[in-house]
Amino acid sequence: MKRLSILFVAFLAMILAQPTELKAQDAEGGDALIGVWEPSHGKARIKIDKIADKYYGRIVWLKEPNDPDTGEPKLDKNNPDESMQSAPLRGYRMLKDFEYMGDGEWDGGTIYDPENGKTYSSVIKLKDNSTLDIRGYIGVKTFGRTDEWKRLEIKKK
Amino acid sequence: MKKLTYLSICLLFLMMASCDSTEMKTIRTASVEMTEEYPMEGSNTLTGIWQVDLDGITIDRVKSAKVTSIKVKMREPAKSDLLEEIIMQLAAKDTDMQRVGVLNPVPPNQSAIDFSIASKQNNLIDLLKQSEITFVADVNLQEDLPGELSIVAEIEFELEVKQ
Repeated sequence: MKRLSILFVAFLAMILAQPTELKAQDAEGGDALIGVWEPSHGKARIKIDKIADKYYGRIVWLKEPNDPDTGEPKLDKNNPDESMQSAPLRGYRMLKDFEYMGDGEWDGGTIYDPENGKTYSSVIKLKDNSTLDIRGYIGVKTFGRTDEWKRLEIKKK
Repeated sequence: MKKLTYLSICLLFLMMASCDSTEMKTIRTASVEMTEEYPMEGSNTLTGIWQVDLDGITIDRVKSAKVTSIKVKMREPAKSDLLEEIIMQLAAKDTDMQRVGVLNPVPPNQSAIDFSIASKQNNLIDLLKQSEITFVADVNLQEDLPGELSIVAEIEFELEVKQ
């Protein structure tokens, strides 16, 4: 009887512990997105970080940081909000509000294209630890474009 | 009879108008300290959390909300020379991040700075429904900074409140 009770308690503890463990694994899985990534065009690098349990990406490096016409740092001149056109592109938060859905997928976010000032719904899928597919779309996921980004390995001194 | 009908309609309109009447109220957040330790040359993010307090106004009565002013104080004004610009955003768990202001360029060696406010803002009600809001300041730095970079932000919201 005593043995049965111990077994029952152990079984109960196992059941109770499992969701917490899964949740912890889930959170860790979500953080796999954190890092610096380079889109396929290679003209920019985007650093993804986590704020208030969501994932956001900023442009931290531009191949051509200055506007060839002015020689000054490139600004977000295509932003539909005129009052925000003085914001520089370097540091621009172009990925917003991604939530981890599990299974290497982040959804519910948006991606901003500074070349046309448009914002698209977006979903990110991690293919492997150093490659992700990011899809921008309007309305339905079927109609959109996918780009492959590579993780940038920061060489430690 | 016609006069009575006319009066009734007027009364009804008056009642409907009074039910829908609103007033504008301004609330100011507490001072929120936003810090980044060992910021590096280039793009950095400073964050701080505001525990939402609407100064006794219940969120159900708020019809619309927008940011009307952002004031930032530098802990060490001399460091403002190294800041190229600051973009202020508001984020919370159950709502989308909102960009509310930009400062470009940052005036050198100033302790208190006013931001340009985004002219296009979504209704910020959903944000104010949260128990806490993260202030997110993206800054570009001209060079690495030993120690920490710290600013204190106060944001003013204009609320349209149902009476």
